[in-house]
Amino acid sequence: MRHASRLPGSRLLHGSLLLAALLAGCVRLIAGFDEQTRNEILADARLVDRFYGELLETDEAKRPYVASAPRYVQVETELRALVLRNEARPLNQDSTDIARKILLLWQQTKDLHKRRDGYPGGSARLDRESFGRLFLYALTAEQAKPGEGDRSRAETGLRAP
Amino acid sequence: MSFDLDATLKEMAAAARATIRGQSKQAGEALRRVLDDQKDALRQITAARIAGEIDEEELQRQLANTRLVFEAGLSMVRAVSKASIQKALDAAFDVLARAIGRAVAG
Repeated sequence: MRHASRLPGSRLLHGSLLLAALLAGCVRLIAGFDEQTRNEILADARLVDRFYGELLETDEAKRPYVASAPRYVQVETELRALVLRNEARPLNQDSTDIARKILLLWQQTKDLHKRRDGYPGGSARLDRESFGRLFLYALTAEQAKPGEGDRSRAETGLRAP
Repeated sequence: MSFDLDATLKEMAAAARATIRGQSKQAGEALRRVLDDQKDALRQITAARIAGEIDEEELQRQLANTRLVFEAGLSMVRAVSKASIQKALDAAFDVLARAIGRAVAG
């Protein structure tokens, strides 16, 4: 840094800070942690889990599609919002892929319920497990991101695997 | 004012190494969890079919779902891995920024 020592202090300071900021800013591989996305994942996971909890409490012969239709619409709306929120963030392809798969599975499940006009317990239990895993992956991916994630994990007690 | 480039680069590498060591463990655990989940899912689907809780068509649908969940798990592992590298890079650049700050102040 022989050349640098000839620069006036304030000019060098500004130049150095700019350089460091540029270097740090240029090397981005993944989006930063987003607390609202984390909260939306948790809220959507609760909605879906509650849907299955109530469904499984209902007599298997009394599970027509029409009884669940409003819940399907509500959950699909929330999941579409989650996909959109993920899509809108740069360097966020992996989380977007997970959110899209959750939405896809939900839509397929809805279509099948509509076609069968029923939802057998065996299928419902397995589907509930699948959604649980998908939401866990979405949450883990979000909380692994740099930024507030580490602090939030400590605060909530939630842990990445 | 002095700036020791060699020492700074060594500090940057050490900071990146220290960060990535902890983080790579997290990525390994994430992959292990996805594989364990896959095993559990296949076990549950097989048990449901044997118990007659699901028919052949449903079995095929559940297997397709398992593939979709597995792909999502791999996306999660990718995100955890990228985050690990990002944190290591950030740690290295923090060292650089501090070294520059010290050089300017000194």
